[in-house]
Amino acid sequence: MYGGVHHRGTNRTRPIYTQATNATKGAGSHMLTDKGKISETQLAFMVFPAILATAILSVPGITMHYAGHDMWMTPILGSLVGLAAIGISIGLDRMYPGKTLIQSSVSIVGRIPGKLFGLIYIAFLPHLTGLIIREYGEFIVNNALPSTPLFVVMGTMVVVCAINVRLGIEVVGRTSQVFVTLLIVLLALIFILLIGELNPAELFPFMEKGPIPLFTGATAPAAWFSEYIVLAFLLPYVNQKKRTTRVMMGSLVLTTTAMTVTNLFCLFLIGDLTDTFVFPVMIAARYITIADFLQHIESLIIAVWIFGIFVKISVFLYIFATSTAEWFGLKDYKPVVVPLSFLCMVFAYWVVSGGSGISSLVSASANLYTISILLILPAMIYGVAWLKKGWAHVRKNRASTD
Amino acid sequence: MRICRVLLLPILSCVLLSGCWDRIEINDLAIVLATGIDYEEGKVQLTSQIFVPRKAGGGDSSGSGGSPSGVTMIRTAEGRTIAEALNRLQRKVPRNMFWGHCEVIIISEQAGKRGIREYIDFFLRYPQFREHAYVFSSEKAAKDILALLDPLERSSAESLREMANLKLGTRVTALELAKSIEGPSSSAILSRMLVLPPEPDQDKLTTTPYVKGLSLYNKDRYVKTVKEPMSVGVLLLAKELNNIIMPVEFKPLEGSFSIRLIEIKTALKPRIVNQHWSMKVDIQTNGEVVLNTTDANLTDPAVLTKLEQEWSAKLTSLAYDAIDLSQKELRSDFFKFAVEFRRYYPKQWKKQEKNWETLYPELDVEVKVDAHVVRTGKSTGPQGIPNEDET
Amino acid sequence: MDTSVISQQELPLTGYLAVDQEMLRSVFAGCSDIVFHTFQTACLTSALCVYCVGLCDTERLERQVLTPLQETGIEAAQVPLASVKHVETTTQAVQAILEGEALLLLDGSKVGTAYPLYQAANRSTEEPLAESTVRGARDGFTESLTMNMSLLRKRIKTPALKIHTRNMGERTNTSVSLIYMEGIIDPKLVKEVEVRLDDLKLRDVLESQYIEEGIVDQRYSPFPQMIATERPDVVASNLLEGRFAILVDGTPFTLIAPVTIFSMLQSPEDYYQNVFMSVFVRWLRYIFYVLSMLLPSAYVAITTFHQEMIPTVLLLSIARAREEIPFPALVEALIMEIAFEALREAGVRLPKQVGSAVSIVGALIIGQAATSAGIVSAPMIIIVAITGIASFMIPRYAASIATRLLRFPMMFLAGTLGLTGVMLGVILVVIHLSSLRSFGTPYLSPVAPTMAKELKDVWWRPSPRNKPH
Repeated sequence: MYGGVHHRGTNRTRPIYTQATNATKGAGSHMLTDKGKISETQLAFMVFPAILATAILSVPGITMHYAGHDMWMTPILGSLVGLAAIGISIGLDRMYPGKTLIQSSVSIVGRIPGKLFGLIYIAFLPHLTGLIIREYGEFIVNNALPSTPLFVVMGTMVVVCAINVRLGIEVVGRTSQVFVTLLIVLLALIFILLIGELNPAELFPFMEKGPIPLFTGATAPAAWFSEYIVLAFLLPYVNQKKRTTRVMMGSLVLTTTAMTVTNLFCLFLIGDLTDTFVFPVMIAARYITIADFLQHIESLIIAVWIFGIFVKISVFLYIFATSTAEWFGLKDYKPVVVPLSFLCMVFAYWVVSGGSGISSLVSASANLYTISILLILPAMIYGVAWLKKGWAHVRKNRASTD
Repeated sequence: MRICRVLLLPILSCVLLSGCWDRIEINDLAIVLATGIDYEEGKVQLTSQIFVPRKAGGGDSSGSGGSPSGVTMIRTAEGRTIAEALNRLQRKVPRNMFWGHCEVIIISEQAGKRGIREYIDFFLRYPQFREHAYVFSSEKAAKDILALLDPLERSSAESLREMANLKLGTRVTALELAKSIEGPSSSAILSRMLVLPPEPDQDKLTTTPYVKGLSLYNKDRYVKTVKEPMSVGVLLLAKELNNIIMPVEFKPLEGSFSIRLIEIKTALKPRIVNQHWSMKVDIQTNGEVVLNTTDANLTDPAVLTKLEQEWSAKLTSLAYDAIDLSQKELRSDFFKFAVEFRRYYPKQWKKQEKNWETLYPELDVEVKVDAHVVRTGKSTGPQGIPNEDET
Repeated sequence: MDTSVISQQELPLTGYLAVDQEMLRSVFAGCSDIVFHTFQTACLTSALCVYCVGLCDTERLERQVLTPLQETGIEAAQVPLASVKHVETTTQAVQAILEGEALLLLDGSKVGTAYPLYQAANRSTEEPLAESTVRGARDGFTESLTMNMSLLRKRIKTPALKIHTRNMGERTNTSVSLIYMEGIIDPKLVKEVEVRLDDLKLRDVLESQYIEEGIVDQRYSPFPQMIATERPDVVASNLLEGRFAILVDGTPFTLIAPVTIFSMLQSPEDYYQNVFMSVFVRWLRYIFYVLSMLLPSAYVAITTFHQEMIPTVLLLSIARAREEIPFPALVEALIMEIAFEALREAGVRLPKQVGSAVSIVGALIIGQAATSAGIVSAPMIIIVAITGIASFMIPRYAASIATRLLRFPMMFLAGTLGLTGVMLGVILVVIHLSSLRSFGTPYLSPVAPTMAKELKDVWWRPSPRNKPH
């Protein structure tokens, strides 16, 4: 049932046919703990909800609080951080093809510092994954299933994601393709249905408090965009890297557009009251009423959004599992998945004590925490790697001129 | 390992089947169609109009001529706060109260005098309520309106909702109400409902509520009721005028023209020049003549032009009356001038924000109406004049 | 020890007729349909003709073999019959007799001759009952392998159509043919299939399902990974798209692989109709495929957990209809679905005369009486009816089995967790489909992984000129 297929009477666990098509390319790929491969579009599909799924919930409220009526511009500013994260990931992948961030850090800064760097990530990732799972749980319990215990809501999702991750990157890639397509189509439909209720005059006042609040408000989207660093963990699994940069740029543009559109819709519909609601997008969804029959479809939106959060949790769980396996030098990451998902559940309970804790965590301190680990640290590593290559280049030149 | 796999499914099922925690069957729900808020003797009274399902083809076979197709009943409870009243209300109903289909909220003027801030917070906070519910005000008690059994629609809530959709008064949802009270202008306008007297041989409750006038709220308190013709001016400036036929007199002739409004656009243009704040109200409207009791013939362009002028003058005077009411008499901004100033002059607004109460009554308001009569109905000249051939 | 499997030693024919005859008689002891006919040829040699009465054409045997041998005295090998075989061992002799050939043994000769005179009772080609179309060919496969091969060969008249026949099943020795188009199909795929067929050790092969279960990637999956069809035009078009087919003697159902879930939802008629009609019907099928799995669970979830989603008017009518029903929505749905499944199975088994009575009984009992008695509500019946129609819309019966089975766990999930549960169920199904492969091809291609060229066949029906293959 899980991946490898056992035929009666043979010892082969995979057909010859697929073994041929899945030939691993690239030198250091034998160190990867998962033998599967994905395509660039699948990677783009995986990363899109990995950023957007929770951003859609919290970003409009936070940015409205800091930036007022200019909140729609904050994702554009935040996307600069995403650009940096993409640049670092692609650069590292070019310099050390076939190696994830955990592996290349060892090559760049040496064994002990590299392992320490990896340890920071292995400690950070369950924290982040636990936070995501808890946000999901709180959201569902608040909006859809009030009396269901939090454990059941979070537990069922973690079980499903663990199955998904255990089956391999290919399955994760394919499921994300299917779900993200559905997600985009249905969300676009929702937005189109809301067009009648919007009031574009809410764009003004423009720059009411000057340009500074724009930057303070942009830290929140920037933290979400710094999650683009997951590319550094996933690029080694991509085969045929022909147009990676272009595809990733496209994904960045799409994510920025989606966040901006969400902010605009919340602004036009709810205006100043956006930061008084816990989940403004939900209020917007509840407001749709077409021809007296399409009403209160926020349950449908929750259902569609579950697809997005599923992809996000799967991606982060996958990164966590493979990073842990690589750090410990294991050959296969599959045995580690179940215990690690249980660990993330524990973190989900541990991270905050209540729903309001989530909002406060997500507003100020968490953003800086996230950006520093997801952006600053890899930037430092990348800087060192760049210097090293540059130094090696200089030495080569010197050697050749001697 | 195999045992684990085999046991996994039963174990997971046990977790799920041990309780369907949120399961509520439809026939365990008391579906609330409308809510009413009253205030009496220091207590908040919450009334809910609950739908009573009867099996199709079962119950009302003994219907007399005007029996309704659906049946509703009301339940009232009181408490110190509205939340407490909600709780007490559940105790009077054997089913789970379900507020997810409550489409109409009626706040009585009595309750409004005390301030509706508490109710707005409740409606926007309690998870089940709809933000798209229409809010009305009522002259007497809200529960009297909710107790009505409408002969035409399924319930009086339905008829109220349909009337709001037809834009017979104002069309204010809970969210919009919150926005206008929490916004810079701190005011609200609600349609005021009265009860139509029932037919003499009908049951006292078999009648419909109807819109008569507007209730004006300043900050979150009810201040005044306006009736026609003042309400027309108020609606005109609040961009909510709709579905109206106005008589326009045509001096020196006897009689009048009645013009039905087809389309109306009100634009508010704020201006601050040299610390002088002014607001220009631009109204553009199209109308259709539906009644002509004068002797004038509309095919004559001179007549048409004069009619348009008369009509513009009438609208302008109505608008100025409304402005006088809000500026001089009530001293509160009902027409969201503050919002416009904040939008287009944010810096000056920030400085003067606190002085808006004193600034507003002195505000220079200019009203300009551009009215066109685009259609004259099916006839051209006046009809029904006896001995017409004598001209 | 299972003596039904003849573990013969490969004994060569001795040349002594008496000994050989004794050997063959002992092998065929108790088989009264095997005839041992001794005679003398014109050259006065003792000869033995062994044949199976049901499988051999005795009239031609007499006319073309026995009479010339007995009268004109020609050599055994000179009998004017096409494709005469020589047998040298008992195994080959037995095999020849069981395949309908007449075996001739001459005294003094170590080599026997087998004459191909096979003629068995056969059905003529009829329109397949389970896969009829409005427009298109009306011939269907029969139980005879040679006839089926001929139906294919006459559609694809090129030598690139390769047919490899082998015998499978130790006890039944059924002929199984692997068919593919050389040049179009991937040679690695052919090699893979041959390896799997070789590795498959079966005792009996009575129907193609025996082979299908043995060679697919994932046996424990409700979704079929090979198509079984009775229509030669379906097989032909799939062969031309680079797939292979497996024909099994004794059954008209042919296996085709590798397949994706979209091939399950396509019917051959798509190419026989107008483009717009085909596209419309295709999209209808996609929607109803999803509906057949999700509609009852969505109804249960919405009416039990998310009543605010229902339009007020509808909610009031449903409330009125459900007022007298004693069961919760989940139980009601389960009762109705199980009753519907039972009705469907009963309808398949009943003889034709009683068939119409069953549908009347079903409609009356379930439809009218249950509603009036207050056991189920009218909306539930509508839901069940639509679900039934949806599952009948799926062109491949095997694919509809998957949705019919998956409906029930989905209903349980819906009853416990509402729409969240339904979505979790959908996610699990998609995970399973994503990990499923049919002979190496991912089950969800061309959507995931995306193959842009083939995508057009999913949402549109490309014209035969622009077909991807």
